[in-house]
Parts: sequence; structure tokens; C-alpha cells
Amino acid sequence: MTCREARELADPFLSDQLLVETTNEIVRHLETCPACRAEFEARRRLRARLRSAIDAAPALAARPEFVASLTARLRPAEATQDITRRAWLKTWMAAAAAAVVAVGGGLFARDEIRRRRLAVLAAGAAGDHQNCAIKFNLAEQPIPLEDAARRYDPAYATLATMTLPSGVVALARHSCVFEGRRFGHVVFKHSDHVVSLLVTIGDGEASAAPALVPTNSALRVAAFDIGTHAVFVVSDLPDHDTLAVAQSLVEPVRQALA
Amino acid sequence: MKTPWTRVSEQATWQAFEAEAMPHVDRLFRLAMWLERDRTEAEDLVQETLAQALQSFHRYRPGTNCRAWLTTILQHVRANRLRARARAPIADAGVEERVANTIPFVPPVPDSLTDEDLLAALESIPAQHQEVILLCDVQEMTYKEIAAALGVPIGTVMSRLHRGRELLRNALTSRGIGSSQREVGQP
Repeated sequence: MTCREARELADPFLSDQLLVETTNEIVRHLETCPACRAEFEARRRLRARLRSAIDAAPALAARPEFVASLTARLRPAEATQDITRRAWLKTWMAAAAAAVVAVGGGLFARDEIRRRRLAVLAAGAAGDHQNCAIKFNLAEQPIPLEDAARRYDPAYATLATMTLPSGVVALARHSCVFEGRRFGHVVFKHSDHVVSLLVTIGDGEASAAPALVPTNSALRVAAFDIGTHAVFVVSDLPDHDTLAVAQSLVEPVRQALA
Repeated sequence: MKTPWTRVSEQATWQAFEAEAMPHVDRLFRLAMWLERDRTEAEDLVQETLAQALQSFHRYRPGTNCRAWLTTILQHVRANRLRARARAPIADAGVEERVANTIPFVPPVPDSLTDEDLLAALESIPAQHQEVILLCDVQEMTYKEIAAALGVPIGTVMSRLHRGRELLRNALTSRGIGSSQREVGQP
């Protein structure tokens, strides 16, 4: 890859919008080209500074009352609010049928919400893997797991000493933030591929057994659930291998977070 | 009259919308404030954007960039509002700018630079260039998403970004920032 090609792809690279193969090509180019490395670093810093300046400017902030009233205006009325007692008595057959539909709808709604929440978490995990483990491109520097345990969630400390499956050597263990979500992050290599184990508070959205979660990224994400934490295994390995790695980590993670 | 099914569906949509879209309200509002420079206008714009987004939430694909999706809606709503008010034209899509042949060098932003300096430099460049820089660097939208949001070709987005960054560099330099930086040559 030439300097021109790399620089033309700087924006999508920094926004994590490229295919894994293209990203790897750029990373390889940056490893050997100090000028492009300086250029990319300058752009990354300018982006981060712009973002934090916009996010911190008091004059641009929404009034809390505005956000509250906006939420109130958008939120639909409670499902049961306008079912009157009279209507129920007069049309009990119809209402009974409707109740069945409502229960079905409720279950559907719950599953749909779980699915969407898990997809959001999985996309965050994929983004963290890409920006932290592969590109070292996070806006905020990772911190030691012990610090994260003291400040945010005691569970992170256990990842610092967690035993990995035999033959697997951790490259890094820390806590990092991607798009506002904090993760406990263990990076290791499997079959010469960089793999991330990411743990975050997840309200039990994933299933107990590892399962692949579709994301918009070219990376594979397998998720499973340990109590109040969601666990993600992210890699560019094939589906089967990613799932197998996740499977091998269930017990160690479960024991560490027990 | 709404059926129980409709109400349950509305609740489900709202809960998913609340989980995915509402966390972006703060940054969406900041963008609206930056573009409108008027709190009442910005609040109206964000409210209309969110109302439209909720109504068409079934079109949103989970796992994709929700902030970019909301920003695209905001830009469309804004364009319609401006057209309705018969203000200045939104996009000069007919005036194609040439994408420059060189990629500009971005000077490192020193830690001593305050947020106010940076925002003042951004504010000093033309609005259409501020807009693409914000959409690309702050909202992290793809060129394609920005083009769709602004209703201009991708080439125009790229050339505006190129020119915008050049102007931003000059604005930072004229404030005494980066004036001593030399252009980094390509190997």
C-alpha cells in the first residue's frame, strides 16, 4: 500500500469502517512509514480533541428539562391506560382474545428488546477489539484491571489473575472504554490471530451458552452470559473457531467471576 | 382506537428506541446547536428528528450506527425546515468541487490548545466545511452517510472535507498553532 492510498483511507480507518483485510494492510503500512504514522496520529488526536471540545462546551448542552420533556412527549401511553372497565365487561370475549395477543406480544417485545440490546453490546465489543487490541486507537487510555475494579466494578479484578486455557498466552489485560461502555479486556493469540475476551455489565442479555451474534462488522462475535455480566469473544477467526474459543473460556470466566 | 396489540408493539418499539436512540440525544443536540446557533431552533429540530426517528424505527437495523442514522434524519429535517423558511440554499450540489490531488498534512494539536481555541478555529471556516468535519470527525459518519444526509455526491463530501481541513489547519496556524510545523513529506 502506498502513502497516498493509506491517507485516502484515513477517515474510514479511524472510524473503524474498513474491512479487516484493508485495516490490516494499513496497519502494516503504518508500521513501516513514520510519516503516515505521524499523519494518522495527528488526525486521530484532532478528532479526539474536536469530539471532547464539542461534548464539553456548556453552550451546546441540552437543558435537562428539554431532555425530560422530550422523553415524556415521545413515550407512548401505558398499554393498559385506555382499556376501560366498561369496555372490558361489554366485550369480554374480544378482550380475552386481545389479552392472549398482548401476552404473546409482550414475550415478542421482551425477546426483541433483548436481541437489540445484545446486538448493541456486541457491536461495542467488536469496536473495542478493533480499536484497542488491533489499532491501539482508543480515545481514552486503558487502565489496569485493579484500578477499574476499585473505581467501577470489583469483577474486573478477577480477570487480572484468571487462568486461561492451556497453551493460550495473554498479550494484555486491562480495562478500556469504547463509545462510553467499559470493558474488562484480555487480549490473547489463537492460531496466530488476535482474539479479545471482553467482559461488561450486561443485565443478562446473552444466553448462558456461547452463541454467535451478528454485527455489522467483518469480525466474529460470540457472546455468553455470566450472572450480571455479558462476555464477548471477538476475533477474525472463522465462525466455528470463534465459537470454540468462546466455549473454552466459559468455565474459566465462570470460575473467575463466581 | 388502538388495539392491545398496537399498544404492546408501541411499548416494545419505545423500549428499544429508548435503549438505542435516546443515549445519542446529547450529542445530537450539540450538533443541532452548533448548526442552528439558536436554542429554540435546536430544540425544535431535535424534537422533530426524534419524533420522525421513532416513527420509522422499524427501518433501523440493530447493530448499525444509530447515531449516524439519527444524524441523517436530523439533516433531512433541517433541510426541509430551511426550505420551508425559504432561507439560504442547503446544498450547492450543482457546484462540484474538484477533489484535490494531495492529502493535506494535519498539524498535531498541542495539549496547550484550549477547547475554546479549537472551536473558535472551527467556527471561523465556512459553514459547509464545518458541517462535514463535524459529521465525519465527531459523528463518525461514513462519506456515504454524509452524502446521503446532505444530499450531495460523495465527491463533494470528500472535497469539502479536504478543503475544510486545509482551512482548519490555516485557522489553527493563524492562531499561532502549528505555525512552526513543517509539512511531512511522503517517502
